[in-house]
Amino acid sequence: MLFTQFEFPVFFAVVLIVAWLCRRRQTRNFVLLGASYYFYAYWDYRFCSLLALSTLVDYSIARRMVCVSSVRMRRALLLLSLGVNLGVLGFFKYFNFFIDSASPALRAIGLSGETLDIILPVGVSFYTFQTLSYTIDVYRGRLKPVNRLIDFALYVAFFPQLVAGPIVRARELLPQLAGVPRFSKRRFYGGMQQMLRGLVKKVLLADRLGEAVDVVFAGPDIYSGVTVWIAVLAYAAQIYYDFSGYSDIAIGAAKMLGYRFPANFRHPYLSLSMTEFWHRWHMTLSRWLRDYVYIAMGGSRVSRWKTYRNLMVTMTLGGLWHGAAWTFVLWGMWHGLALVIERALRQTLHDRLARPVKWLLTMLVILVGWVLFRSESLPAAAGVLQRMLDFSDGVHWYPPLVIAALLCCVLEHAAWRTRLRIAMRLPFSKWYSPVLTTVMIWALLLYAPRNFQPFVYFQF
Amino acid sequence: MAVMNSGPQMLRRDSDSHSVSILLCRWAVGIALGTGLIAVSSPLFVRSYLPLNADPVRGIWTLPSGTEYRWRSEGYANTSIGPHGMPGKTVLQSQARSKPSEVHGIQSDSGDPDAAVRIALWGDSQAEGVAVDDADKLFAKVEQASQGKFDVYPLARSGEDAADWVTQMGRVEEQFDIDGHVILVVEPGDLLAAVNAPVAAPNAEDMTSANAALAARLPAFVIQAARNVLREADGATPRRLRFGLGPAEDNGRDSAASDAIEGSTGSSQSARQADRLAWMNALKVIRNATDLPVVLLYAPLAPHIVAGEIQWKDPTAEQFLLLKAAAGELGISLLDARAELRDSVESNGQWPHGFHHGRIGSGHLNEVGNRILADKLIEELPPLGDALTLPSVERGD
Repeated sequence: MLFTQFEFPVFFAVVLIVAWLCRRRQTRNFVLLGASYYFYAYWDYRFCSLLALSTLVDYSIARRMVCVSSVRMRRALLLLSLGVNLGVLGFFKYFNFFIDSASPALRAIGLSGETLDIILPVGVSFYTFQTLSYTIDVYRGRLKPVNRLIDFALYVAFFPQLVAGPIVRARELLPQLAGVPRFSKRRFYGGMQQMLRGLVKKVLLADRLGEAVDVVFAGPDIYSGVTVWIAVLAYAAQIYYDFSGYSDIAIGAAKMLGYRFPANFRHPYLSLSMTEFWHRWHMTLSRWLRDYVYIAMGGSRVSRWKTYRNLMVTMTLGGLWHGAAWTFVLWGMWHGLALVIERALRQTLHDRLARPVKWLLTMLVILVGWVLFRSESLPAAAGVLQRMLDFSDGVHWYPPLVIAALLCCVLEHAAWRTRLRIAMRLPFSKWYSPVLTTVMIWALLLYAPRNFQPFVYFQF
Repeated sequence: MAVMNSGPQMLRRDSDSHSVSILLCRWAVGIALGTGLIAVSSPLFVRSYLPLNADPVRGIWTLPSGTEYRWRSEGYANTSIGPHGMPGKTVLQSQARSKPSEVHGIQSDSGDPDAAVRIALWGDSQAEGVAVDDADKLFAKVEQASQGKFDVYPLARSGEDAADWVTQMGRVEEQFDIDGHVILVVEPGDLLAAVNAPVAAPNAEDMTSANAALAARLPAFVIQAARNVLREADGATPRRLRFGLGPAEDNGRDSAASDAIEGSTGSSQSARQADRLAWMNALKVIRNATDLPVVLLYAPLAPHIVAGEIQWKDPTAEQFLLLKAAAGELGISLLDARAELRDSVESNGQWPHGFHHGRIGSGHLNEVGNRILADKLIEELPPLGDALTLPSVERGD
């Protein structure tokens, strides 16, 4: 089930009522766990077993880990958890990619190199990272293993964040699941507003932008350079609205149920550097990569060249996490390279640049990255980039709705720096809140595209 | 002590209930204001939903004359609805006229309405042209380009096919003193439906009537919102919520399979023969529906941008060949506008289909496309002029 499907409001309303009627923690968590598995099974019940496997493995391993004193044994248990989780992820997400990439070599040694017909389980990348963070934190002694299986199972499968994040850490959510949250009208209203904002972002902005983006990316060669630039800018706005819209709905839904999720986006296109961008974009993933990959490799406390290596490896893995394709790998490497260059030139050049120049350079790097990210293949990405540099004739198309949505993105980012930022949350007591809330609801009913568009990040 | 405390508590309770009622009032007013804002601004973004009238002359449901129809999807235009639901044609020339003994009026440049040749324009939404302004609609472009030599009656309606056109032909000939018929053929398959004529007359109890009643009572934005919620993406299928587990059934697979079956049967010799027969039967129905000349203006969706590729090839080229053969046998004029449409894109990059507001290069005819087709008609109408002077083709059986 997806947040933008008509079934979701009915499902969520039932869950909300039942959850708040439950006065005992166990009952509440059990209801939420059942709802979460139903939410996942709605898409395909067969993959609930993977979810359950991941849950049981990490729950058991973490509990076992604290019972053994031998470091070697603890490490073996950690490796077992990594093996099972990354094995599942590797098989379902990367098997075909690796076979496909290695097929020339496989054929050379007489193997067929045939790919399998594998369905990627929705959200597998997200819940795998969540369970891994739990086991690693227990291994590092930063977290005590949870006693109740239901609590842990709910942490892994909690439906607002199950399929596309935010990647919530065990130490953020498990303590909240240990009790029954107190109902707060303010938080409930805040969650509702955040869900509504998320829906507007996704349905009214991202989906509209996506309609134009898909057309141009399907055949950039035939369009004029300006039209391709519009499409690339539109994609930058689309992916931001799509994913931050999803995150808003997830965070809002959790808030209405009484739980707090970490923020995932903070107006990323205001960034003046790539480092800042990754502090504003998909924040829960970037901190996961920082804590469990970058720092684990030594982070920046090693020599300069090793730091650069760590950045490159982290970002390349981050790219690969997004999808099993060379475009994603290259996207990750592109960001890694940008971070390395930025770090190398920080004192000599970057800090001396004027703010608009910094912003422009950052945006350029981001946009080139999005071309790689959005394209079906590397030659397709090269085609789009080539067209962006070529202003010779082609099909001219200037869709006003796309330009309006882009303008909306610019205004939203600009407003965030002003006092409008608070107003945009639509506080309950302010006179304009009911007016704007009503306008948003009507707008969703009236202007949502008729064709249903899944969230971009679902494919990851 | 309890008595002393009850005073402030009661005061607080009073002030709480007072602030709650203020908040509730504020929200009620805010909701009304928000809805008002949408009501005022919706004409900019929401298409019209007009109550349809049963037109006694044409015998179909039409948009009510004297109203304005907004189109807010691909393209962005307002259409003034003229008499008998004719989109964009608000003024009709005097219906009764002394018919010239010969239709030499085609050569006349006097601008005298009596001398103008009256053409009934048929087709689907492409010929109806609600996505373009009235002055850019196909009928208007023909009138402009002919400098008044042709008086075109836009009788095309979205969703109609040859069964509807054939049903109306005789009726409008009598009413408007029509001299000839032009059918815009974008999807040749629409012509095959001629064998289904006549279509039933509007019935006060049918769905359209119910929709008309709703459209008359509710504002367009309410109807649009209700349609979005209650209907699937196609706008027709009622929405059903699914709460069962597992992946939704893939209906596309079935249709793909049936397409494949159709394709395989279509390629066989006997199927070709059946196709030929079907085309002959359909065009015979059209031919028999009128004694007046009929001109088919063929303007398929080509060139077209599909999935990021420019498709120069006519997607219905095979059907066109069958259509051409049948039309030739039955004495129906067939004008082929494919070269002109293609040339417009090749020579100056002007796309005949699509809009910046929607998608350029695909969809409905735009101003450029209508101009190209109007020029084609004017250029090739001398054969029609000749045809008009010719005795009508003998009716087939």
